[in-house]
Amino acid sequence: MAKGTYEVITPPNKLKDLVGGVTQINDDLLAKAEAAAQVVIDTVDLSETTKPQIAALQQAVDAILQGAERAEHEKVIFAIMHDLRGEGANFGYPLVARIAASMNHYLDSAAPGERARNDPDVIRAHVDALRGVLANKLKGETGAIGAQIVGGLESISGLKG
Amino acid sequence: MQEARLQRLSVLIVDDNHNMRELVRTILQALGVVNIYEGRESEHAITKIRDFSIDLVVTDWVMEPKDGLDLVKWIRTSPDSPDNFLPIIMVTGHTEKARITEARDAGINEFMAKPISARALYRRLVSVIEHPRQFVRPGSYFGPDRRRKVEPFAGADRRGDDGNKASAA
Repeated sequence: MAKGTYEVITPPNKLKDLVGGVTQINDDLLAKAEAAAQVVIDTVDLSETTKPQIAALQQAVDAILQGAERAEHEKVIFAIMHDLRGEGANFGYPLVARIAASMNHYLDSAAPGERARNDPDVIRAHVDALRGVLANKLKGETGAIGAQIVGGLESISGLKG
Repeated sequence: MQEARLQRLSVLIVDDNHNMRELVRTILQALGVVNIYEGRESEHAITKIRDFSIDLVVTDWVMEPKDGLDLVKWIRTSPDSPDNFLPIIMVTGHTEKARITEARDAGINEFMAKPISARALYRRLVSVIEHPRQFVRPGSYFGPDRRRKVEPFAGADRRGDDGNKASAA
C-alpha cells in the first residue's frame, strides 16, 4: 500500500443478515434480561467463590514479605485484583471493587521494571482489608467504618488525594 | 418476537471468571440467543472460533496466559482466523482512557466497562447489528474505523503513514 493511503472496507453485515429486519431495544425483553441477571447476581456469593483468589493473593503477599522477587507476584496480585474489581462491582460488594481498584492504581503507578519500589505493607493492607470485607460479608454500602477504611487505602495508593 | 430475532446468532463468551461468564450467558439467553459457547481464556477461545461458526465474540481483557487483546489481534490479523471482521465486544474492569484507546486500537467493535448490566450489553448487541463500522487499514492498523462519525476534519489526517491527508485506496 502506498504511503499516505488507507484502505476502507465495508464488510458484509452477517449479523444483520442472520437477525433480519431492524433490531432495536425492546423494553419487555430488556426487563426480562435484567430480571434474569438479578437472579444470577443474587445467587453468587463472593465470600465463597473468591476463596481461591484470596488464598492466591495471600500467597503472593507472603512471598513478597519474605523477600521473593516481586515483579511476578505483583503481576499475580494485579490480575486477581482486576478480576475482583469487576466481580465486586457486579455482585454486590462495592467495597471489594474499591479496594481492588485502589490496589491496582497503586501497582499500575510504577512502570513494570520499577514495581520493586512498591511498599509491601501497602499491598498487605489492601489484601487484609479485602479478606476482612469478604469474611464478614460486608455487602452493599456498609456505612462510615467501611468507607473510612477504604478511603484510607485510596489515600495511601494515591487513587484519591 | 424480539427473542426469535436473536436466536440465530452464535455468540462466544470469553472470560476466565466463571461468575462473569454465567452472568453474560444468562443475559444473552434472556435476550433470545440460543447458541452460546464459552472460552476460559484466549487460546481456548481460538479453538472454539476454529471449531464452530461464531458470529460475535464477547470477551474479557485480563486473562492468563494470553489476554483479550491477544485474542482481538489474532481474530483481526491471523491468516488462521476464519473471519477477520468478526464483531468483538470487549468487557473489562479497565475504565482508564488510555486502556480504552488501547482496546480500540487493537480492533474491537464495542467497549463495555464492568459492572455488566443487561441494558449495556443489549445496547452493544444492537449497535454491532445495526451500526457496524467500516474497516480501515491505514498502515499497521486493521480493524473497525476508530472514528464513529464521518465529519469534516481540519487537522492532519493520521490515517496516512506520513501524517498528511490520506486518500482512500
